[in-house]
Amino acid sequence: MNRSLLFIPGNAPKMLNNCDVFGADGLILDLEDSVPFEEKDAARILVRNALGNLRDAECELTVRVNSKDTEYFNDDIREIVPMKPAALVVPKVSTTEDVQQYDNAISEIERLNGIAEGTIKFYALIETALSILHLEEIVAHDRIAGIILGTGDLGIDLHIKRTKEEHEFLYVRSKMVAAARAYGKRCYDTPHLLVHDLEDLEKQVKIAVNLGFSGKAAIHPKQIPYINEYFSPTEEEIKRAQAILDSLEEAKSNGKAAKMVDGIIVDNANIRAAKEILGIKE
Amino acid sequence: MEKMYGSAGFFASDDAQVTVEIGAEKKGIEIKSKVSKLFNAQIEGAVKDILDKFNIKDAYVLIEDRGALDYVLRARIEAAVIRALASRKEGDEV
Repeated sequence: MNRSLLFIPGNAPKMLNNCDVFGADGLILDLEDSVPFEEKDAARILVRNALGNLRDAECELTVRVNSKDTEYFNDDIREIVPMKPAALVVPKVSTTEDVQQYDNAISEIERLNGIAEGTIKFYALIETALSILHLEEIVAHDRIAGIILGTGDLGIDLHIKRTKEEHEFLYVRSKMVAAARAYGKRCYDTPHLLVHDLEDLEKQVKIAVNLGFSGKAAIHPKQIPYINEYFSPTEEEIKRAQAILDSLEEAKSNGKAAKMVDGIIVDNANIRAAKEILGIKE
Repeated sequence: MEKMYGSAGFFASDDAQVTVEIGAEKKGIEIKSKVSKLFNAQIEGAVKDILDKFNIKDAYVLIEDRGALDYVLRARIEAAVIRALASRKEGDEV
C-alpha cells in the first residue's frame, strides 16, 4: 500500500543512511532539484551506492532523475538503471511523446544490462500546463505506474497566484485522479511545502484523501505519519467493509440478495469499495 | 605527467571529504578519522578497490572522514577519482 512517497536529497549521506526507517511506503532518492549543479556527478554515484545499501529496505525505492532535456540525464540513467530501482520519477512530462522518449532511453540501458525491458516503471511528474491537457495519454502508457502532482513548477506555468488553501489547484487535482483511476494507475498529491505547519498539512492530506488520491508526496519525515494515517482505512471502515462482504456471503448461501449493512446498500459499487479497503483483488 | 586533482564529499557528519591527486610526487593513502584505528584497513581497502577499478597505479588519496558508511566512502572516492581524471589533458597516461 503506497500511501506516502518521501523525497530524499541525493547528495545527503545523513538522510540516505536513515531514510528507510522514516516509515514512508516509498522513497524518491532525488538527483534533480535538491542537488546543486556542481554536485550532480557525485550525487548520482552516491545514490547508486545507496540503492545497493537499501536493497533490503521494506519500502519502494525510486529515483528522480534529471530531465531528459538536460546534460545530466544520460549519465543518471547509465548509473541508476542497472541498480533496478522499482521506478524512476521522470520530470517535465508534458505529452506521451515525452514518456516514449524516456521509455526508449531506459529500454536501451535495460537491454545493455540484461534487464527485461519495461521492468523499471515511471512516476511522471505533472508540472506543466501542457501535461494537464495530455493526462489521459500519459497515464495510459505501459511504463507509467503513477503520476505525481508538482505544484511548484505547475503554478508558475499556469500563472497561478498561490494561496494557502490551494483551491486554485482543484481542477488539476480532480483531473489527475480521474485520469489515473480510469487507467488503474496511482496518483499522488503534491508535497506540502510548509514543513512545520502540521495543522495545515493535516487539512491538505484530508482534502487529498477525499478527492481520491492514492497518496501524497512528502519532503520531510515528520509529514509521513499524517499521510500514512489518513490514507489508511479507519477501524470503522475496515469493520464495515468486512460486514458488507460477510452479508454478501450470507445472502448467497441463503439464495438471497444482500440488502443493507449499517444503512449502506450492498450494491456492486459498495462491494468493490469494500474489497479495495480490505485489499482484496477482483 | 600533468598533475590531476579531484575532490568530492564534505567534511560533515556521516560524510567524508576525499581528495585524489594523480601524478603528484606524494603517493599513498592518508586517513584522518576518529575511527581510523578501527577502520583503517577497511578504508584503505575501499581506496584500493576504486583505484583498481580505474586502473590507477599511483595516486595520493586523502580521506577526511566524519563517520561515512562504506557505501558513502566508496561513492566519494569514486567521484573524486572521476573528477581528477576529468582534469586530465588528452594524451596523458595514468
